[in-house]
Amino acid sequence: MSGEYIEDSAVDVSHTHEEKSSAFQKLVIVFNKVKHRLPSRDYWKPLFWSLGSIILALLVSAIMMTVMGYDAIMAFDYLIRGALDQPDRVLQYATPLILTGLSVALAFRCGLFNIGPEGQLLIGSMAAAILGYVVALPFLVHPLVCIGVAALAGGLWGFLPGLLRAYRGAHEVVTTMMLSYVAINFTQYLAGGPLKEQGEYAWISQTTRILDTSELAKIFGPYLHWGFAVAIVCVIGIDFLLKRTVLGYEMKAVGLNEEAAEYAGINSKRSMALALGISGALAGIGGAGEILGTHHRFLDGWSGGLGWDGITVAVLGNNSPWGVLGAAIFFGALRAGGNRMHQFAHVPIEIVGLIQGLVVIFVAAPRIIDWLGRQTIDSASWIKREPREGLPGIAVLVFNLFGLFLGIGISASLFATNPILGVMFSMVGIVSGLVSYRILSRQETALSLSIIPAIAWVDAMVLDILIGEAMFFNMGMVMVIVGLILSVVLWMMQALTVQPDGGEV
Amino acid sequence: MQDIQTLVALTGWLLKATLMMSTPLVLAALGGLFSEKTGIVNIGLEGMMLIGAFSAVAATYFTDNPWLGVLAAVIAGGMLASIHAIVCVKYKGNQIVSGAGIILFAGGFTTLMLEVVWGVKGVSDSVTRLPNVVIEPISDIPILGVALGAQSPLVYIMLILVVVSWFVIYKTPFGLRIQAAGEDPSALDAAGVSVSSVRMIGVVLSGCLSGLGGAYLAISYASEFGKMMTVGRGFIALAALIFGNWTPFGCLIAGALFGFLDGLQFAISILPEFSFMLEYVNFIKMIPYVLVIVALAGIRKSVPPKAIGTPYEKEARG
Amino acid sequence: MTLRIEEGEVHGLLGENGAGKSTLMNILYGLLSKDSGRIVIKGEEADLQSPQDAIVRGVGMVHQHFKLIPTLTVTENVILGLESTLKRLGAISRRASGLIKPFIRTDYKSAEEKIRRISEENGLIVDPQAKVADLSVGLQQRVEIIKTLYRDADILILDEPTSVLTPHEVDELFETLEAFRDSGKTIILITHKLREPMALCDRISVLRDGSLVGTVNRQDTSPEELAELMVGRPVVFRIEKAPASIGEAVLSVRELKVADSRGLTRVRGVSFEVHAGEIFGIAGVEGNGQTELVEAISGLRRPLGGHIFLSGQDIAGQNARSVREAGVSHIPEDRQKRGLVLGYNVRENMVLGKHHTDRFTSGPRGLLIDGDSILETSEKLVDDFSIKVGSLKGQVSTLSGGNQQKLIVARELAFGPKLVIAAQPTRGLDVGATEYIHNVLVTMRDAGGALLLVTADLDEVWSLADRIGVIFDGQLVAIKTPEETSMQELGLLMAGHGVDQSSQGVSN
Repeated sequence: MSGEYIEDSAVDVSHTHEEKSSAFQKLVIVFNKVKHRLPSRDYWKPLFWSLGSIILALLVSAIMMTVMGYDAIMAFDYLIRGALDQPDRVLQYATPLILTGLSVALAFRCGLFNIGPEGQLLIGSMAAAILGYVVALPFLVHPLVCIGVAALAGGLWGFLPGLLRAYRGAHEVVTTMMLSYVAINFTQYLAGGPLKEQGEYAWISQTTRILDTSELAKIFGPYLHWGFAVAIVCVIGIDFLLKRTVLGYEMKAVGLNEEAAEYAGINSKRSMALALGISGALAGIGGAGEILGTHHRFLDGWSGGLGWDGITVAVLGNNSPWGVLGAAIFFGALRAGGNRMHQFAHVPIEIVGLIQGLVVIFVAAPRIIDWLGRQTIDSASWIKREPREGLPGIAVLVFNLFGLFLGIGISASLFATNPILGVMFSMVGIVSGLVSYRILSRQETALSLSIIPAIAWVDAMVLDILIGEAMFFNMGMVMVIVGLILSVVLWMMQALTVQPDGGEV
Repeated sequence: MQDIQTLVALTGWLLKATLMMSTPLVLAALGGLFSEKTGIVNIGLEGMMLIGAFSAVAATYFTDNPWLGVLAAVIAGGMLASIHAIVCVKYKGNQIVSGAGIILFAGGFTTLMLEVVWGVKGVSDSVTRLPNVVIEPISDIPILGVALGAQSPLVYIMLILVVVSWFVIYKTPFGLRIQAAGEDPSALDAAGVSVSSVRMIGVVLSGCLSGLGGAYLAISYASEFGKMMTVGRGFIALAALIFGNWTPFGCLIAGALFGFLDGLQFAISILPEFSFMLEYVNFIKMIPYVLVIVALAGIRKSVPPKAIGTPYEKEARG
Repeated sequence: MTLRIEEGEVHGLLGENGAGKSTLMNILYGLLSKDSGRIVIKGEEADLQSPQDAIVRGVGMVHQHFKLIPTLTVTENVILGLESTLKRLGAISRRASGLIKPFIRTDYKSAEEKIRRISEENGLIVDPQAKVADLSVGLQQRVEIIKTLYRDADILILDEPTSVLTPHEVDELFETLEAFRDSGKTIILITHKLREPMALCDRISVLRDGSLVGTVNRQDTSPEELAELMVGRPVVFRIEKAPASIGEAVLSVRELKVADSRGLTRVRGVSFEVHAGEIFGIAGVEGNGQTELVEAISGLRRPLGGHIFLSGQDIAGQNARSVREAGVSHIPEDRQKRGLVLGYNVRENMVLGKHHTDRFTSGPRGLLIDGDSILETSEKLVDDFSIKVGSLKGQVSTLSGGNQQKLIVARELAFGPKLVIAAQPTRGLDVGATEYIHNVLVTMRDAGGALLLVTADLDEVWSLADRIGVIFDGQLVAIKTPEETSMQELGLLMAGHGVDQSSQGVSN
């Protein structure tokens, strides 16, 4: 859906340019046309959810990084710069993700959950790797043949669960997942057994290097190969398939309502098997692209979960082809930037996996984002309506939320060395959390409670100075002072608001 | 005579290996059972095992008491599962997507923490193992003695938990509610029981049991935490759950079968008697997955809970 | 709205679909929460947050769609939510807090005894150990009633209890309910049928558009008055239609046998003909093979034996698409499940089933969809059939039930079908939409179309059909014209009573 939004907003922009140069009447027509084409509110929601999930995931991971003792700001700085500096790297990482993401997205649009693109990708890449060195073909033809055969092989790996689902009712979530592991083991066997490259590197499980003729050339930079162009073609193709073809119409209809589709004379079994077949083929192409463009041979374990990431990409892209493209590039950027972050900020690369996981968890439940969105609007209107109560309310909320994470974080790092102090700080965190929850759920007593976390911070700091050698003196004192000031201000304000009330009575 | 002796020794040894390897699978499968019986798909078992394994090692490392490690694993698994529960039950999110997110999150988190706690990339420091329980009276019986005489306490706990799970699901009020939540939540709602809380408890239980399975891997089978050390056991547990037709004893049998295959691979890699199969280890690894596909496609007897995978919304029409 | 229900009476709650009957009762049962107002039960104000609150106040509800779990036994279903644990554990069991109690062994034995006692006392004989899946619909309803009695309910709400029952089962149910009333229980009967409250209730309240129109005593009213209250204007029970000008046979079914998905033979040798310019009605209580018959004719189910001739050509065993291409249109019985793709917009639904024809495709071999042509057709059909849509791009799920059904009817009638199969075409629609669809169908007949009308609604088949075939247990037990027969006779035939048997059965 968000893909369609992108398309429409592009139209929007071009029309606004036109507006200036044309006559007023034409302008009105154009404006109406734009207004007509602009999607409704519901259309924007998926984009809102995706962006919200990303922001939320980044926030949570920043907090976790801080708790673990890394400099989150520096890390994100390198992450962003790393992504912007090396677009070829970003797009190279994105290429297989676009295809595995498309694979999951297409199946999903047809009502099927393909969670086995990993296996389809591996089978496809193995087919491409074998064809890459076994047969000799001229330039250009060779890679295309490899990609074609990879698509067939991956397609077969998807078609089989499709058939099982259509004719035997075996649920595709289970069968694709299981077939994925069959593929992992099968390719591992091939790469480590019959097809293993002999000679100097015989201890590595890998096949012979593919011939030069079958390599995909680089588009620009040292990394980005023509596989990216293939991926873009696939995005356009799948978009077209879903929107403009009879087959796409039928597959979507089966996905949305199998029974109604059958009543309308659509062969639902054929549709399902085909949908999973095409889905598998896409993942297979993704595998072939990586072999022909980057690795040049099948190396055991080269994928490292690209297929799994396809699920992430599809979910974040809201299962629309253009959305998938955007999400894949985002994850590509995350990886490229992650490498840079790892090099210079010394934050482990695994943080990327963590962010990815968080994004998926948040995207899984759009209602979380909705709820937060509503809370934000609520708070905003609260400030607007009653600025005297709202503003300090928000301040207390921010203070306590920060206190929650800080307290828990400090206690986590203290538990091993000084358990008593660790318990103390976790208590502080819990108290802060409870107060923020009360503010979030709009309980009237919440604001007057803000004195409690402040006192808790005082206690914790006293203990810290006594038995913890004042390890967190600076940060703790800031919390103590801010907490005390906030509660004093609140108390004064309450006293001020109560008095006039009393006067009226 | 010597042949027979070798055979007896080998059988006993294989049985022991089977029990050892099936313990984490059965524990996680039981976990999956509690979640899926209440109607919530949990493909995140892998992640919950992983976090259990990590927490077990970390807690043992700091306290030097493996039993505290087990406790930490159960709690950590339950906590991760509660995220899944909140997403799926409270916010009615997509259960498969959430499960996939749980796996990714757990993988990233544990590897990250590995570096934070021990400052290493691959494998943590060694910690104290759970001491084996030696059952004197049976340790002299030929095959049984080897298999059951001296095992990790978690192996026995696993066997007990299978029976307990069966009892809870089929013989107690809570089990009846679990079944109702998975078959037709609206009936449970109409009977005046909160569907959300039953489902929440089911999912959290699944995390606790998977965490226990992870703890077994980390501080009983091994004595350290390694990056991604569960290597897909969560998925095999899921396979065992399906192959075992969503019943506790089915989970045990399927888990034992898959554990046997796992033990066989182990045997192949260390025993010379089996080394001729070394080349085909990958095919042995495939067997559980193929079996599940065949079972789903061929026998078609497996009946998942009817309401599985669908969030429960009160009907709002007139 | 204010509604008073006296203790010990049978109170009918009458209204059309969507009038708010079920919503009202779900609030009373605590399944939905009220926006404002008060509920007073037995003189005590009740704040019903969950069904539990209603249950402890003695309210029990038998839902239209049973809240039973087929894989569990009768006992397990009855005690769900109110399980008692073993007394043997005595002290522990009694003192056990809510936390431990659910994990103590359930006491099935005494529960079974209690169920046996209840069922014997009330004449609701059911085997407590049977699996619910193995019980007939009538028995399942008994289980639902036992469920409420097990919870000591003295206020019983029954939501459309008769819609799935055979006339004989309805009689049994009514006898049971009368016995309940005599023993001092209060019963609220929700229905949209007119005859039932007249047969059983002491007082009848009529709802329309979410508000109470009036409460009447049974003695002071008539079905006609109730209907008028329900709809808000006088109702014509008969549709004006010209005599049929019957042409040649379009559909000819010969000795058709069809099995259901479980392999049971549900249609056992049915033969009939539908002619051009006639409406042939098939009347029967649901579950007597109608669904399978319709699916066989429309190509969705392969028949076991027999022939289906469409204008002389045998179409038995062909797939749904070729049957459609041969000129058969189908208005399915469940519009949301089988008639529409709810995730699609109005345009996309308007061509469902015709989307692959030359008219709506373009490009090589008709592989692409022709959006312009679809838009044009949709605009025309929306106009012709006066379907109220916000926008042609809007999701079809936002349309009202009547407009959804109109969309299906438009689609199925628009492309010149030889034969139209209409299964329960007006179920769940308000009176306006029903009348509209009836008129459209009659117009189609007058233009020489052949129509096969399958319905469980006796009034509908009586007023629409030119010939009526009564289906019972997979066989056509009679084919009559409305002039030859009476409603009463049809009712008896539907219940499986032969014509010669005396007229016991349907309470009128």
